[in-house]
Amino acid sequence: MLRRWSFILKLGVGLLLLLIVVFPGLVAPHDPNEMHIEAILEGPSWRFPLGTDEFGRDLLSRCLYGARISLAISGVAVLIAMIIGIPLGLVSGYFGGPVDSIIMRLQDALLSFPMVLLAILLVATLGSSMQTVTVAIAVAYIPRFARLARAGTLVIKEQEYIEAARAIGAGHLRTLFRGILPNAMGPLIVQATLAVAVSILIETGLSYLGLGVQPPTPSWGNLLRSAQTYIRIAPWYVLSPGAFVFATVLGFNLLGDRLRERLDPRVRRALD
Amino acid sequence: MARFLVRRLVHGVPTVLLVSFLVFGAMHLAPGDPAALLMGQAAARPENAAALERLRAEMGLDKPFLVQYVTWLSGVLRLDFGTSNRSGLPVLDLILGRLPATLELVAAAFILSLLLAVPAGVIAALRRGSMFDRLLMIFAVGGVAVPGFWLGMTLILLFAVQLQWLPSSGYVPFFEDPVRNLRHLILPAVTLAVYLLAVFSRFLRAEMIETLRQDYIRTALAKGLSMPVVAIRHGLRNTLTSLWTIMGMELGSLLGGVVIVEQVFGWSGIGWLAVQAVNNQDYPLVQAIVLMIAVGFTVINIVVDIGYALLNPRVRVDS
Repeated sequence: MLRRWSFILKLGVGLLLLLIVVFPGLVAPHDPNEMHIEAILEGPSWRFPLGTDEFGRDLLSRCLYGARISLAISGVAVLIAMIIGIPLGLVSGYFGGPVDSIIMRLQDALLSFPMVLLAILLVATLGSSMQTVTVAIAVAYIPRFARLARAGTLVIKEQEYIEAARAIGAGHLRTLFRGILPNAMGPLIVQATLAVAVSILIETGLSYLGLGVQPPTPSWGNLLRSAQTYIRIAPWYVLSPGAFVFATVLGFNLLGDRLRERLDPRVRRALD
Repeated sequence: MARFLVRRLVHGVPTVLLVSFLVFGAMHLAPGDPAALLMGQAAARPENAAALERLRAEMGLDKPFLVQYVTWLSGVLRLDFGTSNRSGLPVLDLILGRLPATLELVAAAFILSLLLAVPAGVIAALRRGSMFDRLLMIFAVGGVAVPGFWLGMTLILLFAVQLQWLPSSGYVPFFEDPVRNLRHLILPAVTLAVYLLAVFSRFLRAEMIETLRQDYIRTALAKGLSMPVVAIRHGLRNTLTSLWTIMGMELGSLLGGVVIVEQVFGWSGIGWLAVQAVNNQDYPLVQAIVLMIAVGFTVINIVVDIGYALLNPRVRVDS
């Protein structure tokens, strides 16, 4: 009984957060770009619950709007990586041979770049913008999804039901997407959840370096970049955007761990 | 073993070549003409058009893409990475000048995290469910979620601004002033180590618990050895081989993290140089840094694999 209530509570909190992310205007007390020149770098108060920045803008509102940017970038990037990476892995594992070797060598090369470095390379080439950061994170995750999909495919394609499907005349495409993919999906969903968490860290990191989302568009990373200048006189400015990042990443990590317990057959077996 | 070694090394060659091709290709797509960038303002004037063409030819920019790649690659193989189009200095000198700072920071973070993670993981595994175990697991879950640059700033706020125990930023070479170097090192090293400590201790705990279930552990206990002795002499030794692989894998995130943490603490290493190079559109420098780190990472992973085979005889036999 307690478990069920705890689940409903978590679901409720999750939905509430989603609502805030999609419609930050519902809860944000101010316009995120409205400057209050009488209240520059003011500490937390009833009017400005998390204080204000160097232009007198409300930090809470900027953090809430920043959530939308950071989550949108991470979500879209992971989605792109899945759409490209998973079919690559399926094909690679299913057909094997030279196709597999070529795809996997390319993935190995991409995996040789630490994610932040790959992003820096792309930002240097394409210029710093939201789109570049999204592409950079997507490119970094394509090989990670491809590998996982390939590993699943290698196991599943040997199963009898796949052989049966082939025997009654299912084509390669049908076998791949109706037979193998649904059964390989569990670990991929877990990976996607954890990937969103890491992507948020990468996005905020890049925006902090000035290579990601550019001001005045608020993002958690560029808020912290400006905050560091005022660390000695306005400590609250540093603390709040980071706390948002921390809480969000933690949430996705915990969700990923929980999903792993449910969806990943290896972990489920170990737990049983 | 020799065959395993050769195969692993040969396997690495196409990867490294592909990496170099990707880096060169990406930089080739960058907007702007490198010759014009090098020439500066003068390139825009029409009377300099012929000179610009000459410079382009001199730099080989009029040649086909693949020819340019091969020329560049043969330069790289002779450790000629070109010159920075900002300062005019050889790129290699700029990088080598910054390398010690980054290596020191990375090494300090690794050592610090291992020194704490090994005992913490072992104790948590031996005292499963205890207060210590639970606190360590909370730390492990939090440690991987905390953004490094925010943790860094929080540490600055606490130890540099409030308590004024440590400097907030800067880098002093070790051989110039060892004491000041170490004082500057503490905060960035701790910042990087928190993530590693979280990953390593959680992994070690899980591996130790698994190892302690093995038959040979029961045998050792039945012989009358005490649990701590068995855990360290038999358990830990088997766990460390797996930790070795995780260390290789985590080096990638550490190399990414170091770029950001160097910026937070004004620690003038490679990462700091890379961010400056991007902001200055110093393409040869960005190219060289990304290439060196990616190739370095690949080579280290090959070394890790070989080391793993040396540590773990089962891998040798299987291959």
